[in-house]
Amino acid sequence: MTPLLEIDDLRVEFATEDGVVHAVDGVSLAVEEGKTLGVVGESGSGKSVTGLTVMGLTRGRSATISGQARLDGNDLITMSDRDLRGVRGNDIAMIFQDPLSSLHPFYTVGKQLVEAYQTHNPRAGKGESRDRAAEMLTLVGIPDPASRLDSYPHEFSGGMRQRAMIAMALINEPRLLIADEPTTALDVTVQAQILELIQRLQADLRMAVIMVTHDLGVIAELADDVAVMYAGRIVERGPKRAIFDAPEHPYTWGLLRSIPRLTAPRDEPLVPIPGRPPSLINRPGGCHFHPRCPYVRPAHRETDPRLVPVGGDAGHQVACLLAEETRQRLWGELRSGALPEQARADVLEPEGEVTP
Amino acid sequence: MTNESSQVPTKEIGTHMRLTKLTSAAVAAAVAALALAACGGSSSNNNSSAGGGAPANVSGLADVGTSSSQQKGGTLNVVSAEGWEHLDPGQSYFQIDYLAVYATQRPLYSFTPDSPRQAVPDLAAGPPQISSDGKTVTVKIKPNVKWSPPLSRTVTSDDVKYAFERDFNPNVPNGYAGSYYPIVGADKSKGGPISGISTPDTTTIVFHLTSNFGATFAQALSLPGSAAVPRSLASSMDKKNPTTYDSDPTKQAFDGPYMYQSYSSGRSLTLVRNPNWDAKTDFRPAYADKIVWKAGGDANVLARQTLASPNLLMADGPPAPVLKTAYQTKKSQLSIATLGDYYASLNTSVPPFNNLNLRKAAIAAANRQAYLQVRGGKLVGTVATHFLGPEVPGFAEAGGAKGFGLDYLKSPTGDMTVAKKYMKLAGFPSGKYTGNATVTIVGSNSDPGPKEMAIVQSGMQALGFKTVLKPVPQQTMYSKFCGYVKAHITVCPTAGWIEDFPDPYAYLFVPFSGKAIVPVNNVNWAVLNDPKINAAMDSASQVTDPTARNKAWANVDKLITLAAPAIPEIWASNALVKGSQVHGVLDAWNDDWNLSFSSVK
Amino acid sequence: MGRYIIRRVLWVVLLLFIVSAVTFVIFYTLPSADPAALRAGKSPSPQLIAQIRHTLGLDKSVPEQYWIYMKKLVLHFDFGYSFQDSQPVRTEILSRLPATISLTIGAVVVWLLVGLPIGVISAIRSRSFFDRVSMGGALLAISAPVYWLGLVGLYLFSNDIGIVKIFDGAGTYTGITDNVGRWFGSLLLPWLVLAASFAAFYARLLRSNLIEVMSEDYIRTARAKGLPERRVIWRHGMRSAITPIVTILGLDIGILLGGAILTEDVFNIPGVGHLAYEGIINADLPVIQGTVLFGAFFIVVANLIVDIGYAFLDPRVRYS
Repeated sequence: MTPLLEIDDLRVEFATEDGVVHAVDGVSLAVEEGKTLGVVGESGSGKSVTGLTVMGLTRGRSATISGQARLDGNDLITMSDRDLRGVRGNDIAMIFQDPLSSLHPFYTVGKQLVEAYQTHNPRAGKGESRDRAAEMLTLVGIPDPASRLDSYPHEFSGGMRQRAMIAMALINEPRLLIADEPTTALDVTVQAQILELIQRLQADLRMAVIMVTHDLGVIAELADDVAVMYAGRIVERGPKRAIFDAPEHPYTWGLLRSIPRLTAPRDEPLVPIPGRPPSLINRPGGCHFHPRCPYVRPAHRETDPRLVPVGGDAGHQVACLLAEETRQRLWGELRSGALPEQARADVLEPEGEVTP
Repeated sequence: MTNESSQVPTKEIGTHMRLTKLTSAAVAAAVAALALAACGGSSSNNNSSAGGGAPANVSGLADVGTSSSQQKGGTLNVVSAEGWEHLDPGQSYFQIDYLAVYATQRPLYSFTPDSPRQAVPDLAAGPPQISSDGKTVTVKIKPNVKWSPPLSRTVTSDDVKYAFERDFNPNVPNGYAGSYYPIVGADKSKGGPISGISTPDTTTIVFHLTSNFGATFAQALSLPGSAAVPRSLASSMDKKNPTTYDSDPTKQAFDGPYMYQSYSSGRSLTLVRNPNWDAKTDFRPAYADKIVWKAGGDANVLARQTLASPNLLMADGPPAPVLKTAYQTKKSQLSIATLGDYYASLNTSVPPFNNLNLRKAAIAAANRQAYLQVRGGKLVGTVATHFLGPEVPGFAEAGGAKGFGLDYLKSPTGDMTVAKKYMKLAGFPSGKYTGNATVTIVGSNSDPGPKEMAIVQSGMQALGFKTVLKPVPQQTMYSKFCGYVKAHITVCPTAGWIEDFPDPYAYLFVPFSGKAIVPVNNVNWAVLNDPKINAAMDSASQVTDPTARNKAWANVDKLITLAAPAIPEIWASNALVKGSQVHGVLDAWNDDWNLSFSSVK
Repeated sequence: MGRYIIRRVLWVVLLLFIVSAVTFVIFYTLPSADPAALRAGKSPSPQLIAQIRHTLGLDKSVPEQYWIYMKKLVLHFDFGYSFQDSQPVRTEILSRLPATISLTIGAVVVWLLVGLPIGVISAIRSRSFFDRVSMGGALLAISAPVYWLGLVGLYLFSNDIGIVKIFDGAGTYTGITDNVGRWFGSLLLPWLVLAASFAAFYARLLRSNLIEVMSEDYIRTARAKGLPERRVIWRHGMRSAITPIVTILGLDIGILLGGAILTEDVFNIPGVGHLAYEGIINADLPVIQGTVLFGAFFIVVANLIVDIGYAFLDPRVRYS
């Protein structure tokens, strides 16, 4: 099956006063119709920029963009602004992290929905557009939609606002929804409702979703496939099952260990990944993750890892310089509850190549 | 603002009817470098030639005298930075107001461009008759002068009587009636009938005075307060406080050649011919058919507009930068004439200058030439050697520009030898003051005030005086310091005086008579109270014969100069500008245009 | 909302009372000339001064004078008479209002027409050549004193004393009801001069507002909806960026209606500011009081309108 969206070697650089920010550095992704791709990573990993770039929202004088992002075979990167506007909000829609700041404070929710609809249905009349907007509010579960259309965003609760945002994004029945941390700003209980809503609408509308998040819990809930991003690159990708059951990259291991899981033993300690994400202006040489990797070897500082299939499975790829066998032993230790230092001592020290 | 001070109307300081132009001249420092003899002004003005202190060798200035080539007709256009204050003849007491008042109202006597020192009968039919005891003055008025429509009746002696009654009405606050019109019963009349005025018939009016002041009273009948006002028209208006006869001058009755067509306070006024005016009764030629006067605006802009125009007259003086331009490039549109003086008062009532010799020493040490330089040089005046100014009768008798030949006034740049001599006479043999009195110098804080203060200060310091400088706004200087007797200010070097009319009494009495000392708004800044001088003034003010009167007042001037109550600084000159085509005629006594004599061509 | 407006109006009234009281106190405590002495002329007898003091009502205590003044003002809308030229202050102010309003409204139109487009273009093309040049020019225009600018304008461009004779010069002001064409011609240069610094200020303000707004999340949303950029800027960006400007505009209009003193003076436009200026230099309390109250009235009313208007402009304020 041909993917709906295919991103190929996407690179986005921003010129700033401090230097060039390599926000996205050779990302390739694909998402199929009706499927959900989870893109996960810390802030600054380039996951949001990837989403925005697909929408053309990073275009501007300071950005240099290369690579391709093909929708139905049409490259969005080189597409004219005018053509791209026809895609935005129509074929691809996007929702954002903070629904309050993402809705215009001076216009009613109804006006903003109607505007979204009329932009791509220029012949739609006022009444029709309003009906459509009300219909969308009903669809996202907002009660009394007809009167809520005349409310302003600040009169909505946080969850309601995100529902309204979703209604606005989906009003033209896009084939792809890019959801950029859609639940991060919400209460935990509301988070679940919103995810559920997205899932339901995705099924109803047979829509593909790119779920950009730092939260593996969200990924576990929704995604079919997962891409893990670090410092502007994909470090591991594969089907959700593979990523959660047999992760290959030390960074993925770190992510998995840094979130609470209901399935984990109660006393298992949460281990945050030490260190901070690297500067995207002066990135570390070799593997970008090496300064934070507990299993780093001297060679890793020199060589730049490439994304390679795991065990010959093209569906699961990882960019790590450790030998596949070593990784499996390390994961084995970690899965059985060992702390990273322990795992390193057990696995790497016998091999004799330990970093100080 | 560049010329804030020029906006301050005269009466504000209670002393200068024509402060405007003195102040403009004051900022004329820019023209200091121009080497020319001062003032003198117009060729045909007899005041300039007669004034020995004003050698009129500045050629090429505008001809602002009367001329036989002047023609009737057209509209005279006037501008002024300042607006009017009071166009009611009973209240009018401001230089530019006089322009309109003297064109619309006829005082008993008036000074004319051709007779700037001797008032001629205006509404009066002939000279005043002063009784031999000087206590009764009788004036006959012309029988055939008519009021403007709608009144349209003949002006009677009762109209003159009423004018004087209302001069003492609190609703018609008059600034000088109390000083010049000591009529029996006036002080208690409050606007009602005055027992000291009688009208035996419709053309005769008799004033009974409380003292033998008649000779001077007669001179003061040239002020607008003597202009007739019809009782029937004005009395109801005068009951209002303030009177509407003033606030809406179009409601007045007019016996002059012009009347108001429109008036907008502080903005504009239009004068048209008074249809009932009969040229045969008046010396005014009244050339223009119409006079349109716009007030307000920046003085620099107005002066430039005037110079650029063919037909504008500017009623207030040009600021220094424009004066300089006018002198260099448009001399034929510039008039310069003498009016008033500046002097540094030395307070005779408090130490150290209650000592005559110390005052003379201070005068001798003063660099009066430097004072003239910081004021603007020869274009704005000449160094004074006594008090009576060149434009006033008696100046020649007082020695003209040379003065009385006193050693402490001989050198315009100061003479320390003479100063030391008087210090010794005062009991300071070293020539330096060793007493403990401090000299407080209060003056205007705007240019050139501080420079003038510094000049006076350096003279004082050379004599060993301890000095304190207090620069304040000019208005405050008069109201809170120099004019406030209890403040006991030692020296006021930036004060000046302009006479109300060209008579030595008006020039000398208020500033130097002990009888003129008042607690507030005092003008006798030196607080000079010399019985001999007071008496000499009293007797001089009773002299009727012009020659004798001039001599008597020249003697008063000498006594004052000998009493040394002030450092005479300058006799001031003031400038006016006009359009290139208009024939502006100067009223020298008011040092401003006479609208009834100026003509469009 | 109704109660809010009533409360605000009461505040306005109270504020005006305070302003008038403060003016009174300032006038009587600051060392300026005694109006009675000013009016009395030279070397007056103490009796004359006392008489004038009584005539002007200055012999009463300050609170009593204030009481009388306020009583007349509230009951008869009577501002008293000028000490200087005996004119009724109310008539003076009202007759000068048309000039002040003409000057203000025209200048507002000019500075909005000039300032706002420059601000928008500078914001959209920030750091471009246009932006740098216009913002540099704006800085100059803001720093230029209006009086100086007025004089320079007249010396350069007036048709009487200017080098290039384009505009009507000073003192040509004509009422709009007298002759619309001449009214317009006489005010063109004053409008430009008065508007210069305001246009510059508004251009800079709008530029910075718009730049800030254009980085807001909801602008990104608008773009994500596929809106044309023009609509993003005008409907979404400007709507937010202009709101604080509207409020400042209200206040500026209020202040100018109280009198643009310097502009009125240099161009000799007979407005309220001119009157206030003359009142101040003449120590003319009734005129000072009247013009200050009028100015204060316009400012507080403008404030009120701005506050109420803001609620309509920004729905977030409405219910809080």
